[in-house]
Amino acid sequence: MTRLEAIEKIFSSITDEAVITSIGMTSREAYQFDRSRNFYLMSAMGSELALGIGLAYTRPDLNVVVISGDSSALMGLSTYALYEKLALKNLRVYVLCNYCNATTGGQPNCADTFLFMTLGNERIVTIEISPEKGNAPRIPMTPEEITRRFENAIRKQDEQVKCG
Amino acid sequence: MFIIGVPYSNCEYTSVLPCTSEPEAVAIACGAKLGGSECLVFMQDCGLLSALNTFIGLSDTYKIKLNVTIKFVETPEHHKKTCEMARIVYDTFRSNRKDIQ
Repeated sequence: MTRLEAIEKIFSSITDEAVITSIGMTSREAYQFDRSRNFYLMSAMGSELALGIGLAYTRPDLNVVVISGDSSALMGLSTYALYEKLALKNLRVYVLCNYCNATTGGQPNCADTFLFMTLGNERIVTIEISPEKGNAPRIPMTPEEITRRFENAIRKQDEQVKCG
Repeated sequence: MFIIGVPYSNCEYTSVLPCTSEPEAVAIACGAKLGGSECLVFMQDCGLLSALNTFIGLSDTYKIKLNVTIKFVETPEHHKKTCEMARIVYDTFRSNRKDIQ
């Protein structure tokens, strides 16, 4: 399965969830399924799950999905300890495993250990993907545009304002 | 106010969640802020150094405004270099951002 196919499969199960994607090709390919409730990380590698925890914890009315590459997950590994401890019902995480840093040229990582650690854990969904980089272009939105659109899309119904 | 951070000796704040690191605290606060909560992030000086990438790459780049408080603690000699560097970063930040106290 390619990364794009995996992301497409995840999005096919998504309705009104807020989705946060990790840096690199994961975000770029998720942009192919763009919607206002998507938040694309294009910097701060490894902070996607923490971002999701902050959102899900303070907004129990909202379901949050984090889609992370395996290298990003490894960079923010300690956050998985907090994720396990909190066991938030409105947060779930998918980790796409290609065992390398595909965006930067395929340098190997240590995701095999990650997979071993999360074996049998139903709260962390790992999906094995092929190691090709893919060819999705850079996301044309600025980070600030991503923030403002996302904030507005997830605003509680009674506080919703018209955007732009 | 959603208060989150990493404790230091004689810390006056209590974190809502048991954070594992300063970058994580910053990212959690950013997530809470996206959801509409006002946040306060606390940490000590050397924590600022490890959280730098998240402060800039997430809070600054994505224009997610946070209240931040940095505690400059008394440090032993062997720790001086780290704290000096933290002070430089802090001063640079303060000149650019009004939200750091």
